[in-house]
This record gives sequence, structure tokens and C-alpha cells, in this order.
Amino acid sequence: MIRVTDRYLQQTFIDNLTRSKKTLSDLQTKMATQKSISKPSDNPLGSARVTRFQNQLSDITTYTKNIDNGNNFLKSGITAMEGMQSEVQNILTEITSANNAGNSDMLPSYAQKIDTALKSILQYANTDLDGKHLFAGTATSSVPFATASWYGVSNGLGGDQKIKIANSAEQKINISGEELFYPVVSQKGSFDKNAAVGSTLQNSQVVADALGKEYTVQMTYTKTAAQQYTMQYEVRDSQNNAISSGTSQMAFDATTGELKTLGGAAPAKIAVDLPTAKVSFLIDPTGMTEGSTSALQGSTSQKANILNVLSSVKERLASGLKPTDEQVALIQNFDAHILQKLSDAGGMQNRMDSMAEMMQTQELQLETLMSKENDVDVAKAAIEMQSAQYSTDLLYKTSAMLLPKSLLDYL
Amino acid sequence: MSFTKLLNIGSRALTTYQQALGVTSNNISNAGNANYSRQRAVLSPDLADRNANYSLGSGVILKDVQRVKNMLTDSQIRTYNNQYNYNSKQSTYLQQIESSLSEPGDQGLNSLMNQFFNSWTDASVNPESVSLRQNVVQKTQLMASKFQNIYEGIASLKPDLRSDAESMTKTINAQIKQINTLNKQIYEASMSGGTPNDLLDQRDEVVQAMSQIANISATIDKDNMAVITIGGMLAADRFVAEELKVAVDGNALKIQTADGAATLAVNGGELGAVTQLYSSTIPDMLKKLDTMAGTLIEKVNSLHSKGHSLGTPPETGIDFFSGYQNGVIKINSKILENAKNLALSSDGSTGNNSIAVQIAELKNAKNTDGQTMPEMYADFVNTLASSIENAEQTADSSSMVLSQLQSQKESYSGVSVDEEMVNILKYQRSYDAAAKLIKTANDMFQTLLNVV
Repeated sequence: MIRVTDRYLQQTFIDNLTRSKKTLSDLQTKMATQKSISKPSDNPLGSARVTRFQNQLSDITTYTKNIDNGNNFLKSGITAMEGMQSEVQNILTEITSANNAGNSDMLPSYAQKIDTALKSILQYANTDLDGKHLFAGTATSSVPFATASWYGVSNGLGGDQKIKIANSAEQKINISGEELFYPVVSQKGSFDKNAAVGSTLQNSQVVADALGKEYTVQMTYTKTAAQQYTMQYEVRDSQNNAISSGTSQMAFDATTGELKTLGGAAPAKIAVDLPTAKVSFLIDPTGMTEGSTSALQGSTSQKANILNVLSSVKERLASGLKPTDEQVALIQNFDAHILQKLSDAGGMQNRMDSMAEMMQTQELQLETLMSKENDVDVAKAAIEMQSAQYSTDLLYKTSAMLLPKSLLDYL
Repeated sequence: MSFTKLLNIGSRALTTYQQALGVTSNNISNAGNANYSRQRAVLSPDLADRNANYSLGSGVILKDVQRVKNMLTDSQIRTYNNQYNYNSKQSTYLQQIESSLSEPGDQGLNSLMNQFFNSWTDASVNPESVSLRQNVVQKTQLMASKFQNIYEGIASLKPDLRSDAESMTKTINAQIKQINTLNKQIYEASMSGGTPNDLLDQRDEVVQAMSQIANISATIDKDNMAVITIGGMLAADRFVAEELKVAVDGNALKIQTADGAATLAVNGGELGAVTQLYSSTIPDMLKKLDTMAGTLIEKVNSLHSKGHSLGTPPETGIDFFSGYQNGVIKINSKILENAKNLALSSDGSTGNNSIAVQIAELKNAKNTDGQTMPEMYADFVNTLASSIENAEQTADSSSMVLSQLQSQKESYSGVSVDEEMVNILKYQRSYDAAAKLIKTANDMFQTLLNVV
């Protein structure tokens, strides 16, 4: 039989009391903070999960804010493009009216109307939101378009503005002035790195001048050394006369095959601006690579620089000349082009809206998960606390009865 | 039997029970002393007078005063005491580090790191906005400040730990001397035929206290001498009293003999915890933080230096961070002076946000260990939290076992006042009876004298 000494009783009492008070203290902390994890060591795995949820929630807040900002930017762009499209529709109506034989003597007044519409289009193209020009590509701080007699192309109005809308997703939120107004001759494909020096690749595309006359852009690539090529372009008229040409050296990365330099500088689009011939367009060879096969595709975003076309129509009308059929076709094409861009912008907006919706659902799920992990069930904790308090009281009472007693009290 | 013998038996009984009562009273007076082992008066019949046909008893004597002690329980108590104090000390220091992290919460590095990356995302939406650029700088400063705070909080423990180790070493040196002295006193008392129970209790108390500080081994040799080894090295017996010192060797804290000739493998008790924290845990933590900061700075700078600032003309080749040392992450002064020097654009155009987006994406970029930066930090926190949890749980379980062992010890060696009260009654009755015997013998002798 175990000997129960006085200190044995005292020791047991102290141990039990310490345990009871620890339980009470833990429950009190939980009740006061309403959190089951107040420091990582309370529950290392739970704490890691809570931290992860907090990060995800913080990301969602950022992405939701981005989506809101992106949507505002995009909405403004859509409104501006709708305004442009409306002006283009007006122009087409006015041209139809000007082509009416009865209105031949009123052509200068139509020129005035076209001029007003063109200025409106330029105004829409220069729209800014919070100091950022919507159609300036990535050069958002400068006004992209100015009224002029000749609208040359520059490679400064391109570039996508992208925002992060999820951890691994970016969304473009702009339609650049370049893709809206400029003809871009794109070159895509790859050069065979094993091809002999001197071997060539060719491609041709069609562009139009302000009157609608077509020109061929002949692209020729010649290998000059390993990873080195010469890119030559020629602009030929309908009689196959070269009216302009240019050459640039291309250098590719030996490992990745990516275009490293163009004309000794970082790869960029080449502006071909020929005011005399009223031709202006961009050549974009930045999509070219060097690989194990040889393939070259070309495409043109639109045939003519619509601003010059409209300017030319205005000048012709002012001079008493009607727009050419080719010019009308180019304006109709531009109308379709804007509609296409509006559709693209709508698609971007839809993607962001659905992403925002997904974020909301995810936020709710995360908050639920975090609550399960970290929030205290107050009712349960209160009952547990009551029970612990009861045990402590009982411990005090029984100990108060037993501890002071000894045989001395009865002798 | 002669009257004289009767009186002698009575007289011896009186003395014996008086001595037994003395043992009992000593027990009672030490009832509240945790380091006292109860003593038991061992009574024995005195040698009988042998005659031709029979032997007549000669009464009672106090043969021994025994110390009631279970050496196995004591040994187990030392083991668990050592384990408890090692884990408890570790937990105490690690909790100090944990509290400096402020996790999980808005002021923790995790949240601030997240805010840092998200500030780049915010800036990417409107790269021309100077206020969003300033927000990047501000969030970076907050993150860097917290990082420094954590780093310094951990590093500043090292002087405390060293001072703690030195203080404990002083204590253990004093204990070693005490053991040596007590061994000598016990030896002398034993040689003169005494039973030095109180000295033995004192020595047990010192050995117990030593087990709180270091991983000791205590054995009792044939001469009842305690032989104490610490970390495998003889520290104290009757002839040896080694003096120890704390030595710092690079990042390691070592416990050595005073002449520095030997290093003790102290890996238990509070001193073991302190040396482990100083030599391994804290350097590992600081190294992890250095790696985190290095990775962050290298990755951000490699992208930022490729970008272009908002100035006219745009500048390139600007590092975002200008350096790192001992937990201090420095932001390039050029950027602190003018947030337009943040290089968010990859081509120099004002609306280009490519670099900002790429830096924001670093949050999810895996390093060579296959971890993202938030994961590296989460791993750091989790390792610390698990160490604390582990230390606390081990300390709790050791404490429970220790408590049971203490109870066992109390049950075996502790003083029961009730038991001692019964002994008092028992010895008092015997004393009364012996006195009565003397009176009876005296009466008998008187009767005989009256006859003469």
C-alpha cells in the first residue's frame, strides 16, 4: 500500500491546481482573443495554414483592386472606341451623300464635315483617364495624336498595358493606337540555324496608300553568319518599282534562339513613313526566332493608315473631288476593324468580370476556411471554461478539507 | 536476575525510547523539507545473559538510525529533471524569438512581405503614379524594418545566452566544490563510525540541483562517495573538484575545463539548452534569414536593374537594394530620394509596367530549393513553431513524469506526520512502561530492604 505523506498530498494538490489553472488560462486567452491560434507554436500546422489563407486573401484584395482599375480603364477605352466608330459611321454616311450626283457642288462642305469627324476621332484617340492616355500604348504620359496634314507612323504607340489579375494570370487592358490606326506588317517564323550562309527567306505583304493604291512590301532575309541575318525590305508600286527600301542586321541568341538585336539595338518595330507616296506602315520582325526549321509567315493588321486616308478624303472633297472607291473600302474596313477591337475589349472585360466573380467566391471560401482554422467556438469554449472552473472549485474545496488535517487534531 | 539488571534494562529502555523520540521529532521538524529523507529508528534487543539452561534478555537498544531512500527513484528524477530543464529553457528562449515575429498577424513579416510584393502589383496598374511608387518604397521600408527587428531580436539573444551560460557555470563550479567537500565530510563521519544521514541528504540535494543545469551522471562508490561526471568527464569525487569555464569558439559556445584542455559534451539541462541555442539554433536561424534576404535582394535587383526609371531621359541599371548586412536591408538612396527612380518599365516608356509585374511575380517564383520566398519564411516560422511545440510537449511530459517520481519519492522517503504521531505515542508508551519497570524494581528492592 502506498504511503501518503503530508507533502505527497501537498504535491498532488499543487500539480492538479497548476493543470487546472493552465486550462483556465488557455480558455480565457481563447475567449478574450476569439482566436484559437495566437502564436505559431499554438498549432504550427494550423498557423501555417492561416498564414497561407491570409496571403491568399491579401492577394485577392490586390487583384480585385487591379480588376476594378483595369475595368475602368477598359470601359473608358470602349466608350472612346464607340465614339470613334460612331464618327466613322457618320463619315461613311457623309461620303455616300457626297457621292450623290446632286451634291457635287457641296463637296467642300462635306470636306468640313469629314474634317470635324477626323478631329473628333483624334480627340477620342487622345482620351486620358487619370492622366493616362488610353491609346498611347505604353507611352501613356504623352498625348499620342496631334492634328496634322500627314499622320506618320511611329513605333511609340504600341505596347500592351497588362495587369496581374491572379497569381499566374495577366490581363491586357488597353487597345493601343498602333493596333487601332496603323498598318503593321508582322513577320513571324524561324530561321533554320543549320542553313548555309547566303541562304535566303522571302515574304511579301500588301499595304495601301492614302488613296487606296496598293503597294507590295517585299521582305528578304539573308543569312550572313551564324546567328546573323540581314533583313531587307522593299516597297514596290503596282508597276513593281521600288519606291523605298531599307536594311537591318539581325542577331539571334545562340542558346534561346530569340532575336537579340535588330540594327544593333534592342528589337523594335521599324517605321516606314513615306509622305510623298502617302504610304506609312510598321514592320514588326520581333517575332522571328532561329530554330531547327525554316518557316516564315507574314500578316498585315490593316492595309492603310486610316488617319491619312481620312485626311486625303477631306483634301479631295475640299478640292472638289469625290473619294475613290478604294478609300471608301478602306474606311469600311476600318469600321469593321474598330468593331473587332471593341469585341476584343469586350472579351477582356468579360474575362476580368468572371475573374472578379471567381475572386469573390474564393474570398468567401478562404474566409470560411480561416474561420474554421482560427476562430473560437465561443459556446464550446464557455462550456469548457465552466467545467474547468467547476473542477478548480472542487479541487480547492476538497484540498481545504484534507490538507490541514492530521492525527494531531484528534489527540 | 539481579535488581541491578532490572534497573539497567529499564534505564536502557528509557534512553532508547528517548533517542527514538529524538528521531521522530527530527522527522516531524523536517516534514516540510523537500530534500529531507525520513529516518527510522532501528531498535534491537540487547545481548542476552546466557546461563546454563536459558538466556535472559537484556532489554532494548537503538541499533541504527536509517535513512529511508530509494536510489533508483533519485536517479530517474535526475534524468527527467535534466530533460525537463533542457526543454523548458529552450522553449523559453525560442518563445522570445517567436514573440518578435508577431505571427500570425498584420504586423508579421509574412504580411509585410506580401504587402511588399502587392505594392509592385499596385504600381504596375499605374506605373506613372508617383504615389504608388512611394507606396512601394514605404512597403519595402516596413518589410526591411521588420526583417531587421527579427534579425536583431534573434542575434541579441546571443549575449544573453552567453551570460546565462557563464552564470550557470559559476553555479555548477560551486556545486562541484560542495560535492567534493561533502564527500570528504561523509567519508570522515563514516570512518568514525557515524551515520551522516544529514550530509547524505545535503549531497543528494546538490546532485539534484546539478542535474537541472547539465547532463550529469552520479554514481556512489564502495566508500559511499558520489562520483559526478558532466558530459562524460569526471567533475567531482572525494579527490577531484574540476573547475569549468565558458569559451566561445567562432559561433560555438563551449564548456571547458579551466585550463581549456578538455571540452565537455554538455547536451542536457539548462546549460545544454543554452549552448545548443547559441551554437546551432541561432546561427541556423540567422543563416536562413541571410539566405532569404540575399535571395530577395538578388532577384529584385536583377530585374530592377534591367528596367527604366520614370525620369527624362529614363535611367537604367539602377539597383533597387543597395546592400545587406546583419539583417539590415538597404534601399538604394537614389530611390529613397526620388521614387521616380523606381524602374518599372522594361523599355523606358512611361506606361510600361513589365518590370513591376515581373517583380510582383517573384512572390511565386521558386528558388533553387524549390521554394518561393513566402514559403521560405513560412518554413522558417514553422520550424521555430514546431521546435517550441516539441520543447513544450517534451517539457510537459517530463514534468508529469517528474511529478510522479517526486510523489513516489515523497511516498517512500517523505515524512508522514500521522505516522510520526503514532510513533510518538508508541515510544511514549514504551518510555512510560520502562519508567514503571524501574519503579517496580525499586519497590521490590525497597520491600526486600524492609524485610532485612
